[in-house]
Amino acid sequence: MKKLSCVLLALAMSFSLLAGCSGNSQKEASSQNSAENSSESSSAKAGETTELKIAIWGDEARAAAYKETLAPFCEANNCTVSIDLIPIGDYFDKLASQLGAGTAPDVFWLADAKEAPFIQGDWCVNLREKLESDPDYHLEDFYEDAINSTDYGDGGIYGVPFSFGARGIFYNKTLFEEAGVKTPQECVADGTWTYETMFDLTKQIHEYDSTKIGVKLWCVGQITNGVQNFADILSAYGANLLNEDSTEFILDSEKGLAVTKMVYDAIYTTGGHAKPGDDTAFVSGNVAMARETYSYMKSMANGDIEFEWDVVPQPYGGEGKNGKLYTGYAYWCANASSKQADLAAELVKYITTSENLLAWCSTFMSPRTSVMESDKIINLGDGYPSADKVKAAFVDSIEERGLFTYRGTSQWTLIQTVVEQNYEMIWAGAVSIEDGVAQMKEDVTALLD
Amino acid sequence: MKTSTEILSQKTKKHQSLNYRDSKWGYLFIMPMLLGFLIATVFPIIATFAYSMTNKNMMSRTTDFIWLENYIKLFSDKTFKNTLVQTLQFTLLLLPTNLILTLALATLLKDKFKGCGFFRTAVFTPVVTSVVVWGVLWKYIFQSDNGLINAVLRMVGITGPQWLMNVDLAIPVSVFVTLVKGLGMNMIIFIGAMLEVPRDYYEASSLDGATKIKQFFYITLPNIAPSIFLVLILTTIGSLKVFGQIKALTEGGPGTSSYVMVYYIYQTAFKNYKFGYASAISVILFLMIVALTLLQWTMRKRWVYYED
Amino acid sequence: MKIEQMTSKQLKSRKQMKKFLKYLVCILVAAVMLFPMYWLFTTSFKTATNVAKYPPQWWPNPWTLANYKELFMKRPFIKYLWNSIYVAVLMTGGVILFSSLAGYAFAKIKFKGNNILFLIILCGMMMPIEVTIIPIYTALSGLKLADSHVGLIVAPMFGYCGAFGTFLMRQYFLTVPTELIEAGKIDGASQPLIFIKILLPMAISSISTLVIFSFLQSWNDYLLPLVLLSDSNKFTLPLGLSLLSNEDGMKWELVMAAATFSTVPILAVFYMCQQKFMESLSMSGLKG
Repeated sequence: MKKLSCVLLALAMSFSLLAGCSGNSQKEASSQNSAENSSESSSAKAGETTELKIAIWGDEARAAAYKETLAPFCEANNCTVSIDLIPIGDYFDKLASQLGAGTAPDVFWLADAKEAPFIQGDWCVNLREKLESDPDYHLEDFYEDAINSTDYGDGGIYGVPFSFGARGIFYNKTLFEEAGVKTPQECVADGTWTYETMFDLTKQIHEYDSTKIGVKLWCVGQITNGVQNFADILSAYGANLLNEDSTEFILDSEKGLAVTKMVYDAIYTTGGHAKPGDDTAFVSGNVAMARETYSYMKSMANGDIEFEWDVVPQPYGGEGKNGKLYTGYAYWCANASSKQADLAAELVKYITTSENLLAWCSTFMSPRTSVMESDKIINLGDGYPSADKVKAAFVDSIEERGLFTYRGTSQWTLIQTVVEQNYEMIWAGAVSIEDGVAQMKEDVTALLD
Repeated sequence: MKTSTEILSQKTKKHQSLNYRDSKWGYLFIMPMLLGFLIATVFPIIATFAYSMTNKNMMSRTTDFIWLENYIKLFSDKTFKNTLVQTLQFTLLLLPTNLILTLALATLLKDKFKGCGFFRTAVFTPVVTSVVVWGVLWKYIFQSDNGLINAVLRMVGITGPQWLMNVDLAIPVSVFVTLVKGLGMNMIIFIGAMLEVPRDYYEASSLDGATKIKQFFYITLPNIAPSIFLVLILTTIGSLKVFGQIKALTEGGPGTSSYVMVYYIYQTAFKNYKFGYASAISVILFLMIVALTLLQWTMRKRWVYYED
Repeated sequence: MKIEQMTSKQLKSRKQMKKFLKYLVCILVAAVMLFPMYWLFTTSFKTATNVAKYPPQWWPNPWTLANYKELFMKRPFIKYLWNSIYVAVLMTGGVILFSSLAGYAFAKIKFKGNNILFLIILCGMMMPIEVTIIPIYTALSGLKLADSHVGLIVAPMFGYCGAFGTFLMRQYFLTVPTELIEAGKIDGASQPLIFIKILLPMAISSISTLVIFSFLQSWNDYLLPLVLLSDSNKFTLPLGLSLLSNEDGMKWELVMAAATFSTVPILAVFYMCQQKFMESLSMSGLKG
């Protein structure tokens, strides 16, 4: 009898916890509407400093730098800012659990198509009105695709993109000269820079020295992202993983399969492409060509590299120059369920002005015309490639070929996982390319909205 | 003159009151741990059971009870079935090897000899390293092209397999890495227990002509039986709950060939935000572990001494 | 050949052979165990470019302290170290106290519900923390205790570590002969006195094991601090380590340096303690 009542008590406690949770969050949902009113009045109260919490990924140095950038904002709005650091690998997991528990920060980052469930869950403030109404903000300065990429049908801006960019191909000049192989820069000059050529160069390097990696299509730290890594090569040949609004899986087209086979051959048959799971860094000097981001140049120039390197735009596909380049976006977002949602939105507006994005452009390439056309982004100084090379690889290539991104869905993280897992099965030789892609199609289609 | 029944009842009463005083202390001693435990552990477990019957999504504002729907879904979940089998494979590979190797190591290193401190520390080193760092290091060693093992094999002319990109090797490699990491801990539990066995037993038996091997099986093992039981249960629970190694080493890959229960739970809860479903999987895992532990618990009466 | 029949010379060489084999096995095992540690240690002293070199640099050239300097001067690793230490010490202290009390009671004191309650505690080790972390986090944030070290100390103390400790101590106390306790009772000592004066000193070996286990659990724990802590000033070492990677990948040389100094001191302590630990065992007055 005693035991039974104990069990019942415990059950009662747990049910009340559940009820409490949904009750709390419902309260927060309704406060979303009153947030604007309440925070306006709270910041109007004289002498009362509000604290805004921001969550980013990165390290303490970055947090300190952002605090500096935000200092004028804090003064003007009588508030303080505290920056929480979340490791990038666990960022979205932690953010989701915080939103669920009601302890989420006022401002946070979202990225790479993973924003869909957050936006569709009404966790982000719609910033369109606020940004459009201020002429000094120059909303039109943003690349159209970029600023509209958080519009899931209602024309809103739920996050301001602050980081984007096409990848470039970094290559080890010294190694190419040693091996007597034609360099990518030379191929670009005489118009023969295609993926076929790139894989051919890979083969030549591999024959010269089989311990060197000829080419690495996955960026450093992103070996487990099959969605991003092959986006460019697929697009160059007129294929892709998903269609434009992410409602259909299209990798199993003829071109898609052909490209997958091309990559598979480069890894296993002719060899030279880094094996899956191999994350040898370009800085080590053992990789002849690597597909990396604009901000990777920073880590190259900071180290004492013993070889000469250069950067070129990504290769063209066999179809000519009509393949768009892939980019992901990272956004600043304001938490709609925060008690200070309006102030948070102001902060997002402040941190994404042309001036502030320009200040951060060596870390984050931002989709504002004023940033992309600035000198600062291409004149990087000593140790970096010359301005015209940087411009050709990262700025002109976007203008010439255009960009595309993947539209997020409510189960995007799982889609990424499933795509990755099926690619692994293909690389592991456990299934044929056709079977692997067919299975991928089945798994992905089950997850599409 | 008191009758025998009266004397007996007097003695029983005294005995009972002694026991009463004792049991008062018993409750008092266990109270802090038990109380804290109820709040910090039992309550979350009950909450998990409750959540498993809901459709709780990490980011949704409302949660509804859907009763046994999650469990019904589990029946047709192919990944779940594979994960279950793979977790059992992992456990069956790890358990006997761990037990045998740690007993062997403990026997080897229990007596004082020159350098024993160094060797003991060496075996204990992996235990001290964090799971993530350990996994990442071995991931590098097992790398397909330039990993240490394949590089060494290449020098002898053999092309090593893709250790972590092979559906058949992913689990054995994970078992190996987990094994090497955990040996030290169990070893010191065994050394501690072995050193408690009175020396006279060994001296007496060797006078009778017993060999080292006979001594091991007839003296050492029975006397450290409670520790063996402890290690058995701990290793079972630990290997059914393995997570950090898999996450750092293979991320469940290639494909889902090295998915284990807790990794699947983690993916479902934190990457797919389906917390209700993940709770249901945890409940199944929990019940599995409880069943196995209870089995071992009831079997202990047969072969463990020193228990009343 | 039976031992008595061998000549003393043959006996000696047989003994030496055994000794040689013993050392050989020990060295092989130690090599496998220590190699990753060696790699960790040496990489922490390499420059960034040398870390990625292939063929790998077995011996850093040049040796550099730059990584450690960066961790301690430019990054707040001292703070992380301190947080890790005091959380681990408090958690371990609590576990020792409560587990040994409970373990003793479960082993030697007769009271109603002894077995059932013990099994309940045992069951606490069986639910993976990855899923119970969310209810714990929800409850703690409801109590406004989320972003603090309280959760980090209390949750394992009354969770996996506590359950393990209780189990371990119970198993140990079961091997203590009841006569000893009876003797204490006859002398008029109460249970707490018996516990403190007689049993606790005897249990040094199990307590040492528990200290090592609990300390390491707390020291290396990543998931609990990740979910519970937001303010990076409160971070423990494993979290601090994870901040060394961002969208550009992992800074290997710094990660290895951080991992080295979270590991080496503990190893040093273990090396010193295991001598004493083994000594105390051979001196335990009860047996032989």
